[in-house]
Amino acid sequence: MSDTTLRASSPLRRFVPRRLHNWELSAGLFVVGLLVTVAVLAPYLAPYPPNQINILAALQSPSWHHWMGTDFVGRDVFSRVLYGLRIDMLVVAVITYLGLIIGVVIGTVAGYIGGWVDAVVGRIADTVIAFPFIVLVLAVVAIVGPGLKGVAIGIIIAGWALYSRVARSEMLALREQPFMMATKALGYSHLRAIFRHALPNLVRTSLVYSTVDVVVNMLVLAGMSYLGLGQQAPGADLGSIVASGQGYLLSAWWITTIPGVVLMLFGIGVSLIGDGITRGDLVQATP
Amino acid sequence: MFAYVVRRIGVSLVQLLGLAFLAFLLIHFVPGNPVATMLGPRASAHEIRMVSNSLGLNKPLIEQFWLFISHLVTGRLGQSFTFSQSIASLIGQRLVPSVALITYGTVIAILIGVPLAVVAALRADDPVDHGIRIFTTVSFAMPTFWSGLVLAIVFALKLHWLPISGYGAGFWGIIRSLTLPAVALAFSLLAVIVRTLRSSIRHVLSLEYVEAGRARGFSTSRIMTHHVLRNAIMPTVTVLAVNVGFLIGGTVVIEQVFQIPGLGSLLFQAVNQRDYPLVETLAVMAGAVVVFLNLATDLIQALVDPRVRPGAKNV
Repeated sequence: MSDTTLRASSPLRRFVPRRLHNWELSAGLFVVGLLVTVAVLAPYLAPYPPNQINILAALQSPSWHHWMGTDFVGRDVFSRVLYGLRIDMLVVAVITYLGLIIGVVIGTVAGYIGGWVDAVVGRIADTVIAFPFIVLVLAVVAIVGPGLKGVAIGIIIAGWALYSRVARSEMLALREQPFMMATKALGYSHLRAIFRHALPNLVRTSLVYSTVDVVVNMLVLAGMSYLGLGQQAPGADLGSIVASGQGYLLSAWWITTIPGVVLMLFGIGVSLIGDGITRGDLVQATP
Repeated sequence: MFAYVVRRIGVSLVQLLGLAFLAFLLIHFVPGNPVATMLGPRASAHEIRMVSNSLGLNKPLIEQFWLFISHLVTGRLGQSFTFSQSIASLIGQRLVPSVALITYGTVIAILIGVPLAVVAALRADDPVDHGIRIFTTVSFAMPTFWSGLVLAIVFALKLHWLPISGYGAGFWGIIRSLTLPAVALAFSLLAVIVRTLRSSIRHVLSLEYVEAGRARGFSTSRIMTHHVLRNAIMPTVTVLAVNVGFLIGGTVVIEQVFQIPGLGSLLFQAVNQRDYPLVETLAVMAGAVVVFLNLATDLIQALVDPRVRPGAKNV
């Protein structure tokens, strides 16, 4: 994306750093882009239906017919990994950015209003943050029951609080800025002041932080599925495929190791994007 | 200072109360009759009523919360239904493996992380620094259950150096059985340690007194150990305290991988069997540990470094 394609007035301008030329961002975008493409095209790329059992072909090592081998009932691991990646990336994207939106809106409004509303929201967020993340997710799963739904709700409940804290502290700083005071002088409504003028200025920090959050949420989701509390059988997701290979660590190492490598690639790619954006910021800050 | 300590302790108490309240609400959010869900489809109406009464679920909500808090404070945690023993003794049995695992993992992470951070800071922006950053990015992206299994394949199944799972007897038995899970936990912690410490070392290195030390002819290693690390270590300690919550969560998964009879696997079993009172107690405990550690690091920091006390002039 070159500078000339962005007009000075474009809202994109605020979010896209001036100089994007660093290898972290390029490498990260390449890896994540590849994984997203593969996941989107899973129905066309998968050589077998992900849940198709073929006992005669059980526990085969990687070959031309089965790139990543087969599992203990002869399901094709490559097809299962594709579909698993698809569902995991979808769930993680939805829960992370839903959590971000909820947290940023709550934090911004609390910081804008101030007073006891701010104090109450702040204490609730502190309490949620004090709970170890996975413990809170597990507690929610205990209520809702095992399955992706319970895990997703749990991660959102545990995840909004940090965004709320970040957005709130930025809102406090923004409140003192002349342009925010001007919204008052001009008689803009509170909603307009918050959503049109404050939010675009403070959402950046949260977006940068969300690159860490995506990785953490992916690991938590995979962990829950590994424990059998996330994706339920026979559906495949990366964590549950790892778990399904645990009884065959020596005889069929590919079932356990390959989905983990895919999870790792995703995490590395997203982390690189985060690093690249942060570095872009630094470049921009020191012209 | 005194006013700060009192206020900081007050904040923690409010947080603890909030934790307890949130955990207390858990059983009340369960759709339908939580006791029926807990006891399973074969429980009779009489049994359900008896358990509801013993849990105090028929009392007013405020009174229930008061009972919950007072039982937590006095340690009368009641009976676990799925394990048919008292929750207190259950936690007592499971505490040591988890504490040992978390401590062991943290020690490994520090032993690997601190030297890496020092090297990365001294050679900032050269290939060594980039290499260390890539290494921490990879270690951060690895799921702990997966790195645990891969370690088990290599060091237990192929090389037979360490046991594949379980919890050994005696000091060395425990160390041996906890090594692989502790290394897996340490991997997840490494990135935070290395990155925080690297950036605070770089900040301290840019200060004038370090320059003065160099001018006097002190060696790099002396400047590092005597002058830089002491001032750079505090942010890392704070970050470690914050991440204990992360580690506690990590034990839930890793104890399951290695079949370690700790609190993490107890919480997993409690969730699986819908033993709500046990889940509530364990959740409050886990949160309380995080609150206490954050309190302790804040107070220690205020004690050793007057600049962080609120009201102190900015130096």
